[in-house]
Amino acid sequence: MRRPTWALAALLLLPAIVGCASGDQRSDFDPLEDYNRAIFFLNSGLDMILFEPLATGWDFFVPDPVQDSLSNFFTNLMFPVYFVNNLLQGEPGYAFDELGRFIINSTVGGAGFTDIAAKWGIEPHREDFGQTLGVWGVDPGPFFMLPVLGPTNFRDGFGFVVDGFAAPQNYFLDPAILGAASGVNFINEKSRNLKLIEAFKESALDPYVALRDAYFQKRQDDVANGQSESPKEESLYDMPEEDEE
Amino acid sequence: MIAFALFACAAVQEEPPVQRIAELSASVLTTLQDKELSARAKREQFETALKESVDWNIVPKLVLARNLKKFDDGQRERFVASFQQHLVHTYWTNTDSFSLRAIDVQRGREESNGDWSVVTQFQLEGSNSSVVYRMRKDDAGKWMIIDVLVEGVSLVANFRSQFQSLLSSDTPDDVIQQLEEKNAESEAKYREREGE
Repeated sequence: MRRPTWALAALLLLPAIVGCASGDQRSDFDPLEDYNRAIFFLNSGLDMILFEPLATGWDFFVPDPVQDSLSNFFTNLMFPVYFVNNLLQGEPGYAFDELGRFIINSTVGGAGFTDIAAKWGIEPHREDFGQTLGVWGVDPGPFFMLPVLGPTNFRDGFGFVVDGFAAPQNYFLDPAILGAASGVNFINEKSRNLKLIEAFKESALDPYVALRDAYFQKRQDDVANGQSESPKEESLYDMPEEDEE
Repeated sequence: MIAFALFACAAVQEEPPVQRIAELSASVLTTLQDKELSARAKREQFETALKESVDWNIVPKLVLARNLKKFDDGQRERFVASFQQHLVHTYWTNTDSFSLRAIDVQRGREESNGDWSVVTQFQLEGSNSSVVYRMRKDDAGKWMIIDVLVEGVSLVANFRSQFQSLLSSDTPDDVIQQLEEKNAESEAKYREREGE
């Protein structure tokens, strides 16, 4: 039953996504700000009382190499998503790098728990459908906070649904097992990023806006495969006028 | 590791902005890996190096952008002081807590307005991180940092968004006060972490 529901959601969202195509969008395009801030507040509360204590406990009991192995395992399962999206972006070389990584890591790397391929110099190219749409010229659309999962936008949210079709575990695993595995992956990733979360909290003056802008910029960089090197808007570095009002 | 940093420095000496970042990287690594220095001394040396490498005349103006006009001279002075403290402290916290092992200064590129972008790779414990420095020549002819892009995220753009949002409802004095409170909070956390 899950598949038709996803297909329907994807089809319903498609016109909205395509309607957002082309144009220079800014990071503060946020028509749903009141809703987003409410969800941000909810997520921050959940993090504080539930997820961060869980992640801290996980970090205490689970050694770093085990956390890394789990992360490698879940990343390896995403191979079909990365493979298809690299092809859709016209990057067959990267797609076959991903194929090679999957074969090596699933065999020599012990069912994906070790990223041997990276040690052999085959770098990952983790592309999702949100990035593919970005490469095709689709703008991000309005910023959107998802309960628990966090920041996204209309384009990437749509991409997330589409990528679900390419992830084989969604077809074969019982929903309860899939849910439990996703929970472990979520807490494990949070645990691996505790320092980053702490650093973010310490540096942000308006954490909601800081997150919204960082997400926007990071996704722009992801679409450019990390090759942007300088912000799209060169006017960022123009000196403002100094006259007082 | 220090030898590596010096090698990195020697390998990319062609252009002055790149050379400047290579020297700064070597200096930061030397400080971080000096076992004789106390945590406090490391932080002070790191902060001095950063204060001398960033153009504090330009960065606050870039982050305030059109909101700069809302600040009078006294407010600008207070803003620069508290923002400098905030940025330097934030950068120290990030560098210290992520166990920096090496900095690979990779290449430089001249931008259309004469600025330079210097691309580096921070080798951290268990991962790498792309860090790009935006450089501009100051009035004395010295190449200074005006922005840092971590994994494609520009700190100038990010802080600009935050100040734009804050100043849409708050006064410059409110924002300066928030910065000062944040700095005091960060300092208290630092003292607690280091057991001071």
